Amino acid sequence: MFISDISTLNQRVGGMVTKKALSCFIFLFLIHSSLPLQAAFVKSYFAYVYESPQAQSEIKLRLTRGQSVEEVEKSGNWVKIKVEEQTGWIHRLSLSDQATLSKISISKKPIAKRSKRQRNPRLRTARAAVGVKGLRESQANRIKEDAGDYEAVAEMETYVVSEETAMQFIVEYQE
Amino acid sequence: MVKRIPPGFRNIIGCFRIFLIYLICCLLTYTSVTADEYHYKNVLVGDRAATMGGAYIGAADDSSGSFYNPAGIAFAYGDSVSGSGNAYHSSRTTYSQAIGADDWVRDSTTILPNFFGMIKKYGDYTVAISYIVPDSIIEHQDQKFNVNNAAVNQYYLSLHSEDKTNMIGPSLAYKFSDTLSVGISLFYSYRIYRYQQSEFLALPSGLADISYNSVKLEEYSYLPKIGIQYSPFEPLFIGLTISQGILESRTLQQDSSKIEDNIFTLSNAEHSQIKTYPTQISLGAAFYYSPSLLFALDADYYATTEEDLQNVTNVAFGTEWFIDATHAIRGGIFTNNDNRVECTTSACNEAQLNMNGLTFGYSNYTRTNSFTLGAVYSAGTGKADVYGDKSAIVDMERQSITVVFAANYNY
Amino acid sequence: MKKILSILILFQFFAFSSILADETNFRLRENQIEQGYSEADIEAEIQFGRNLAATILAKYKLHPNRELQRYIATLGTAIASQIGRDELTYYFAVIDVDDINAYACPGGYIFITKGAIQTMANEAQLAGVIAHEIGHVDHRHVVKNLKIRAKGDSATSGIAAAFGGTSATARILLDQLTEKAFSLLFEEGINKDSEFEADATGVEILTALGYDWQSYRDYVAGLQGYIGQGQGQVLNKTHPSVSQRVDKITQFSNQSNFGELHGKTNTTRFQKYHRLL
Repeated sequence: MFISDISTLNQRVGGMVTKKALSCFIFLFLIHSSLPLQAAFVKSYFAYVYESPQAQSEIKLRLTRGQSVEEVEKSGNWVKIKVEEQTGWIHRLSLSDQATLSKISISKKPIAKRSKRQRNPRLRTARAAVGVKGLRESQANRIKEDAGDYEAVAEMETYVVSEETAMQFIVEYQE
Repeated sequence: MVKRIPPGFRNIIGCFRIFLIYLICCLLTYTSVTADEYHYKNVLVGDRAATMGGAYIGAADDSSGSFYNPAGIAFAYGDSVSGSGNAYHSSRTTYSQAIGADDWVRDSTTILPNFFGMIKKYGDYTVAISYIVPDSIIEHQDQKFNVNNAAVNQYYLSLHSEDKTNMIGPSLAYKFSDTLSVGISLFYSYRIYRYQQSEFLALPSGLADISYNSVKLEEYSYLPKIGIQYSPFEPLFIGLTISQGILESRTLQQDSSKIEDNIFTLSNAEHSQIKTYPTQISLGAAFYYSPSLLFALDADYYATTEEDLQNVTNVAFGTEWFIDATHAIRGGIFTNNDNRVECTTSACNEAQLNMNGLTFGYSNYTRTNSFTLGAVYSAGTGKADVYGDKSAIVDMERQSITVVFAANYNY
Repeated sequence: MKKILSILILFQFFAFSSILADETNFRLRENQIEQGYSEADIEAEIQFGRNLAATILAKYKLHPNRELQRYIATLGTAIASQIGRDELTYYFAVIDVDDINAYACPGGYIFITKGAIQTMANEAQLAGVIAHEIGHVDHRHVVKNLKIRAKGDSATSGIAAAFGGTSATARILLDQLTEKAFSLLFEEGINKDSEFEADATGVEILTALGYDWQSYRDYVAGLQGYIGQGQGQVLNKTHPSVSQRVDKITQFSNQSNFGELHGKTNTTRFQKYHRLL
């Protein structure tokens, strides 16, 4: 139906309308093809750019965190990118849509301890509320007065090492 | 339906004014019954659907989807509960120059809860329960006429009619893949129609004639509906539904009593009636242009086997635009055509009125719930055979407005 | 001419529609698409995760050997710096229990049990398990399941308010969420798809770092021997079946063309720390 409508128009106003419609579509087609490439950023501490989408293929480049690249193509877990005048494949886990975010930290204070006198009524309320909401008795009993060993958490937080040390530990070690 | 001829008028044929009063009674008698049996889209169900002109066969992915296309609920976002009401439904019907040179105007107003439903998802299966009021009319008229002729001094007429249909039923849908689902709904429907009319004629002799008529119609039926939704390519979804009403029982009860010339008479009758429902086939398309813009187009076809009715096609188009994640607005247009044959001087079926409608709505969303406010406006023109003998076909028109309010909770 | 026109029209329609429509699920409306996480949301996640970690450590003690803890933390930090979320600092610890399992709390607090490390043969297996847990944090499996977000824009509202003990209701909410999180980690499990997704992440990162991904598959397969015994009970309840996991891992590796070449296992180094358990 559409085609015959066009041809009717065509008959009435000659080739002008058809030509205009055609040029309009060609224009739109060109716009589609020339849409800007998706920008991405390297999220990993470092990332290799490979010749082909395989970890065993030749390494062309080594990128570091924060570098910006252009995505050309996606294939499974690999992304073809364009950076520093070269193209190559990088693992998708190394990339992010957003520029590198800075570390977010919180105030590491334990939950405020309540005085002994205040604690009990709330505990009863909490247990009652939990009972009403239908959690099992065993779960309800787990709500202890000072639930949480924050000293142990602080201890756990001291185990962490710098990223540089950690990367050396993995990358530079050979057996 | 019963056409009550008021006592005292049978012998008076030359008085034009009385004849007109008789005419009014006849109009009142039949028109208050006909409004719902002859139109299929008097009340739009659900909030999202109603504000989109009722074009919902291709989408139908919330609890009101059980009514439009049960296959759509397979694509519901999560579990939810929703309820919607027609906060205010008002209709005005005008018969042009039906009383000499004057128009006869009839109004009706109702407030009704129109839909309540729940959806629960179990993996690829979705289950829903809905309660729907697809049609509800309440009319009340009280009139006094000062006739003051040789036969009658005053004529009092009081009538009340209600026609309400309730449907309730479960729905089950299965999602085969992101592009195909099927569903089935089974509704049980109960319709009750009551009509009560009282007349009082004050006679010049000082005596009075009184009459009382009542009609009660109860109809129980089943409405199974099966549906399918399929996406041939992104971002289009096509829906198809078929439904067929099945009558369980229809009982008509008529009672009348009168005192005329000081003689009291009483009559009553009860009949079982057979009614066949039309088969409804609906096709809809939903075009998900972007996460903020949706277009929907529906066509409904009702095929009837009743002799004096015709097949009807209704079309609806709707759109939904999310301004952002919190605000959305919707609009739509639809047709609501009459299944009676067109009224001309040679053929008529009491009346015929084809209506067109326009809808608009606004919704506000939070992470777990939403509310919707909207309006449905419809208007139409047609013809009515006011004397019942095709001698005078008058123009009629109807306008109605419905305010829709709905709330939805996702959990 | 007409034919060319109709082809072009069809092409435009398809081209436009694929550009405009959401690729993953085009039916999702604007209000249903997962909104981004604000800084306040991430702070709420870290607070909640830290609280959950404290609850776990109240029940299960840290392994006393600091050198072992350092080893796990170093491995973990390296893996996290490659695939973890930029804005989080990931913490790792070994808890002194015989159960075979690992737990990832929101905000980057990750635990591995002594029992799990005992059953491992090399560093590739340990790296795979750590990567699996980091995958849970990256994909926000617990956060999404419990819908953990800051209520308003400021970190002093919503979940964060609960930590200040400002109201009984907030306190109860926090306790209930912590209970639910505990239940997800130790009893119910999150859901199958999340576990498969985390396994896939684990295998991906192993190959990206040059580790032997087959060792991780063998480790998962080997867990079958412990299911049914006391040590494997919690693991069995909270994860899909071993055979399903192994199948999914193999399927994923084939799809990704990992090949059967063996990467590094660093067995010698691993054994040195294994002795400290």
